[in-house]
Amino acid sequence: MTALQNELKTMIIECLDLEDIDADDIDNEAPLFVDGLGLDSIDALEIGLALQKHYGIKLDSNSEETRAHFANVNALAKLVQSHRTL
Amino acid sequence: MSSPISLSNWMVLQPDCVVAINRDEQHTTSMFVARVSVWKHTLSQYSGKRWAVYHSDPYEFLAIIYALWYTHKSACIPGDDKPATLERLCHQVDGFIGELPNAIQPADITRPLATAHMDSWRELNPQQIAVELYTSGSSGAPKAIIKTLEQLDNEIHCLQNQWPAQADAVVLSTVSHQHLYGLIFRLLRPFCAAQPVYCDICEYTEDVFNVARKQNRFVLVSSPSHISRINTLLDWQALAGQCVNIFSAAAPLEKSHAIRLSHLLNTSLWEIYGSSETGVIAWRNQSVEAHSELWQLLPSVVLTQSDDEQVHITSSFIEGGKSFALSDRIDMHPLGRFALKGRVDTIVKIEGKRVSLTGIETLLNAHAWVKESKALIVTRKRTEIAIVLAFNDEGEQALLLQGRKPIIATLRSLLSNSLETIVIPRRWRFVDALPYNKQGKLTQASLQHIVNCPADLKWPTINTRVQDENSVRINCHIPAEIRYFKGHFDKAPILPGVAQVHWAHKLAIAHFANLNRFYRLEVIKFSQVIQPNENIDIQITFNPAKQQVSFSFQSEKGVHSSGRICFD
Repeated sequence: MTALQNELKTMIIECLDLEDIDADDIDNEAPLFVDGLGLDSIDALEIGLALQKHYGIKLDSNSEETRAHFANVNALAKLVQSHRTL
Repeated sequence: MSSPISLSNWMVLQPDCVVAINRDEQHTTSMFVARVSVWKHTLSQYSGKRWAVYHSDPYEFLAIIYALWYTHKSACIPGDDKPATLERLCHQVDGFIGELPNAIQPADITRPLATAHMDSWRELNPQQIAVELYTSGSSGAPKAIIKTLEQLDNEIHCLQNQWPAQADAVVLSTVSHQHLYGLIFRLLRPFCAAQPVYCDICEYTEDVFNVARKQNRFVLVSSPSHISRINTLLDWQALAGQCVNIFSAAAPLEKSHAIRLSHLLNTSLWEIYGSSETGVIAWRNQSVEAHSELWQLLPSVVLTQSDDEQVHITSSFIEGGKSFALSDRIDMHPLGRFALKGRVDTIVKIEGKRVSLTGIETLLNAHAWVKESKALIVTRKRTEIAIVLAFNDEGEQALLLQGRKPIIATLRSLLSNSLETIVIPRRWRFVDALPYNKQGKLTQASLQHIVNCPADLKWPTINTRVQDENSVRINCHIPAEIRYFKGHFDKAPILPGVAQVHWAHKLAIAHFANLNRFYRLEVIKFSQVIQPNENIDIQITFNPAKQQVSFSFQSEKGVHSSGRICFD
């Protein structure tokens, strides 16, 4: 799991072109949006597209479920894993 | 229905007409009337005339503003619910309604009210103030933009003539009704056209797809933020023929993005140009390859350009029928067509959100650390705001002791009080002085150059500090991005001795109060080089009687340097 989390952190940093943030700075449980990493709704759209590109994941759930998947790195990792085992 | 429905004579809507769809639940006009009654009953208990309204549900929002209109109160509509916005608003209004702190709650009513029937509602006075729009709290204290019912109705009728509504098409939206574009296109115009509004905002393009799939026909009200990031791998063809129209506003859309979505949904994409102050001004349809990128004025809008290139808009959607001076520059073409040429002021749009660069600078400059700051637009993967900033002594010391990341976090959180996350700067460059040229001007080129170069660092990254009365031991990391490595030397960078003395001097000042002016250096020795990414212990000992500070840089390799700094 840790390897996947690190991979996701690198994906987030690269796809959002983030500066002054290293993978080590992102806590697996810290919120990605607003309070934690300070990402915004546009970043959420970009992460959605990156998940599709990297892992072939389609977000066909509603916004609330998507928001839950995007809560933090661990939640994203769970989403990717559940998709792999399908 | 012979006469067109307007906001004032809305009661001619059919009672069973669907006003809004909340997931699987439909709200009809008669249900809406009952909801307005509840809010009217609630609001009649309060004497206050001006109310701030913020609600994510457009149906509830509409019921609230109608209740305000019928109780002769006005709706003050903030663009966001940021603390600084609400703080400013609370001095201007008598109370808050909706999803806001300390908002009043709707009366708990079990029996239907007498007003819960459509025929008990009279037509509203078109001259009454309908809404006051408050834009984001970024540009100091922006003026509220006032719209009467008549202004809004005129704008709605203009749109209705240009793009006749299809009554059964559900309006899906990725934009909020708390801003004028969303208010008109997502909520008020559909309401007057008997078109149902889909209550949930579509946050992702996947939501648009999933919600659209459940409708027979739909209209999409969106913006370049979503349209440029559409997930093309969804089966959009499955929706072919269902989409009646696509609208996009808030910022110009790239032609290729317009064409892409228009193809995916097999319908026209209409871009709208306008502003909160003027309402709609012009439109274009770039979704057909051969179509022009020029904007076309709407029939009831008059545009004039004075000799100084200032553009004035006159229309019946503007407060008091006055003309409004736009801050955009344009190139006029024949037949009411024009090209946009950028702004004349420091207001910019980031993902469709208006923000004042000067406003951001003012917020930053007010901080105790900041000597001067400059905000600019940079275009990378997305268009974003970057800051070039010079600290004062206090700020420089904070940067030295706390490090770059925590300092950025502090400045970001300062701004997040006033700004929406989308417009918060994402790139920070700390410089000794802003790059004024010989004419005393800051050129965009020089600022852009600073931002395009990777951020350099002036100070080591402090891991731990152990301090007692007259000495301090600092364990720190020497990152490769330290600016003093640059050119010293290209193939084998080493930390210059002068940088070490400079750090020792500044660290001494930061830890021992009341040091006088630097006087001289004594017994300076550089024994071993310091290379990038080394971990170093800096030991600083203060001798108050002699006003001297001895320092040493050591690591597991031994002593790198040592010396004494004497003060006056």
